[in-house]
Amino acid sequence: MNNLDDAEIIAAARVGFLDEAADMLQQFEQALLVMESTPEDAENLNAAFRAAHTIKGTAGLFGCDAVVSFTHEVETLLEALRSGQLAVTEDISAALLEGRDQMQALIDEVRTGAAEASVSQRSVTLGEQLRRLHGAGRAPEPPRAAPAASAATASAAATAGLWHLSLRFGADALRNGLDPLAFLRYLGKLGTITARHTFTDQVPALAALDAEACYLGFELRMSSEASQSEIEAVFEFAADDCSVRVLPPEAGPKAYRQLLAERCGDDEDSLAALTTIWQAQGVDLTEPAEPPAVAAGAAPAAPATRAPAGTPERRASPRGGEEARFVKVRADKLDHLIDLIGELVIAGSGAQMVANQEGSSAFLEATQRVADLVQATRDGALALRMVPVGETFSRFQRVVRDTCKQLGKEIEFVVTGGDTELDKSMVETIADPLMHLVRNSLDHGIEVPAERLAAGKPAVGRLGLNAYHEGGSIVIEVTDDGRGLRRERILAKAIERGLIEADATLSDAEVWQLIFAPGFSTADKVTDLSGRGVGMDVVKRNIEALRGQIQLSSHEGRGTTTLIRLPLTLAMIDGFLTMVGGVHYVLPLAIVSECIDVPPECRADPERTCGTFDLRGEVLPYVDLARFYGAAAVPPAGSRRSLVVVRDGTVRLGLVVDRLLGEHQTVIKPLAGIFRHLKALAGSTILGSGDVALVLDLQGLVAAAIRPPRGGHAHPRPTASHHQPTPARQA
Amino acid sequence: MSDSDTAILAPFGHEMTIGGAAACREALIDALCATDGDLRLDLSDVAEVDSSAIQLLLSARRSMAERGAALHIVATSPAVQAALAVFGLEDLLADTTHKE
Repeated sequence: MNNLDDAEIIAAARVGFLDEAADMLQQFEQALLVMESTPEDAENLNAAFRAAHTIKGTAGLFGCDAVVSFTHEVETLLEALRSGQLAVTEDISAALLEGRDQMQALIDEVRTGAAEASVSQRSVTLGEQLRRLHGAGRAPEPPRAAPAASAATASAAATAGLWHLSLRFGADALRNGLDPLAFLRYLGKLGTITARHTFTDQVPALAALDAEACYLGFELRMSSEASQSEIEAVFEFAADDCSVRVLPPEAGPKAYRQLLAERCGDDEDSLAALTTIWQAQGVDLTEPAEPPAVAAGAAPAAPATRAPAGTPERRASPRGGEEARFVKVRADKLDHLIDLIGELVIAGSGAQMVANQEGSSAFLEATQRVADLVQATRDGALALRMVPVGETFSRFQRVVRDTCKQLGKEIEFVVTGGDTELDKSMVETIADPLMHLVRNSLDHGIEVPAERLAAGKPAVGRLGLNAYHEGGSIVIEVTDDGRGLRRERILAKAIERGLIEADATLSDAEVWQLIFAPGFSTADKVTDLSGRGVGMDVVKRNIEALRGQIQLSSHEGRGTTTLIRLPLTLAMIDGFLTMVGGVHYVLPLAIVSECIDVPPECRADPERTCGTFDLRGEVLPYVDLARFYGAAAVPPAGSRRSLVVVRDGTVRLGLVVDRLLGEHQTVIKPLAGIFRHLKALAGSTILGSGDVALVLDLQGLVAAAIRPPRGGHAHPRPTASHHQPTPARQA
Repeated sequence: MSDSDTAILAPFGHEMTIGGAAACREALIDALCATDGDLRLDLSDVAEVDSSAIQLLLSARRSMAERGAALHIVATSPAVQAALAVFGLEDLLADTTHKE
């Protein structure tokens, strides 16, 4: 191994450290917030301590002394809480939270390589504060807190039990520097090994011996007060070279029989041998409640345990299981995979087209099978990028807490649907807009307790974050039960700013939309948190950049709900391919609800771009895409065209197209910057034939074609000639 | 078997660890071939052992057993004794010393 490799390894490990530290800080903050509400939760305190301890430990490995020394102060105070020397007070939790922020600042310095004097100064002052808290609470507190804690540790000590360890070292263990002797010696430090059996029967005679291979296995009984994770941690680095099973003292015969099956399979000799060894070691394999066939002995036990033999491996070792459940992958590798699958999708549809042209049914069948698999692969690959949105939500807990303290409000923060999954890149992008909405609710929405009581509402306000899936999109709701938006004030402000005519009549929804106008703020006073008039328009832009939608509804005095609707992923969609004026257009399949012949109303005036038609008694707006996009070749009036009815949220709309070409898996490529001004296009895609198809953006289409840009008409007007959108000329 | 058939071997120096394990195996095989009686080992100088050493001893014992002979460890060091104790393999010593 040369120096370059070492440097690379260290650099990679450092990235890992920073990632882990970010996770740990998140956990730490979470634990501190829980601590505030339930200070007596010992397991939670342990979690906080562990997180801080892990950060300190790894920071030490990388020589980040500033992080280590400061985290040490935090840890010391936590240790005092954990041991019961100190009780949790408001000051302490506030100081710990500040400490967390300081740890973050220090770790950020490690990341960027910067070293600001103000940061290190803050380490000193905060460190002193933490020490003072540690010293201050100590004298008066112990009488109350200490006895409980010592009782707790005493009961923990009393649980020292007899653990069982089953170890099988792999052939390469010795070569990889893992010496069973060293492991056993180390185990001796965690407890007392009361019985040991070394399997020597695998060691061959000298002639067949590979002196550097490892042939050993062990069955150990150990009396120890250590926890399962502490014992398993001994073998942390040996996971590849040693099969370790740790059965806790409370493990019943069932766990042992699972282990027996795992170790011996259905080899009756080794079953009998291991059973004999265990019995000699005092393992109780009989289970009174089981039918005699199972308890009778080793051989009959085999069939009973063999069936699940493949699965118990994971169940028997929770730690191993956890590691198997998560694999850390670099994001760029994943992106590359998804790019490749995108290309595969395109190539696949190319093959399918060739198959169609060849007209060979066997070929068609084969490509169909491939296409199915490609689709499944695509879904699987996209699912890899999906992460639960709850992690982002929990970040706001701290914001809620801080705001409450700062503004003297009492707010209950309720998260639902945190398991709902969303593309990772989108999760990161929506965090900022969401933060804005949350802050708006906290700052302007929810009132101070006195005001709430005066309005006949409970003193404690409620801020809700909810997420759920709805037809190919994810919906995120931010709800508060605050004072709500005041229609009159928004209208007045909008008129003042010249956004609307003074005599305009607007529906509620249109009024709320005004909030998203640039620079619009109705807040009387500008606070630290929000109300500076930059915000809602930025929020809207951010959401729309993700092909999302934002809607607001509000009742004065009762609260505000903001709905964000986002597509599940940005990269690929199931599309519906259509042909308009010689150009391919793709609609997201999820929004297509039906295809019908062009109704007579639309044929009546062929010069019209948009209008309305009657769908089984319902009046729906329609857009003639050929005219909308200014297609060069408008088909003659007599040709047979189709109307696709699409639904987007609550809006339904008819799109007149020349031909329907059916389903198409679409990899969306963003349009280059020079096409950005084109309306209602989400991107482009390449068809199997090599042709380019344009992906329609329905919201853009609705906005551009149906809704007048300003003015008081809630319903589309039959003639929209005064608003002719910029025709897009396709390449 | 008479005493003339046994060989006393002390080839291992201070260390019996994985680094010299292959050489040690060769030495044991040579010793094995040189005699058709029991094999006697003097481990009194061995100050450092790891699992590979214990495996070599186990392997040598098996080789001897296969030809109906025995492995005798005539002298040990604290390091060897401690390692065998950790593995619960004191019988490697007990066995041989009893036969002496």
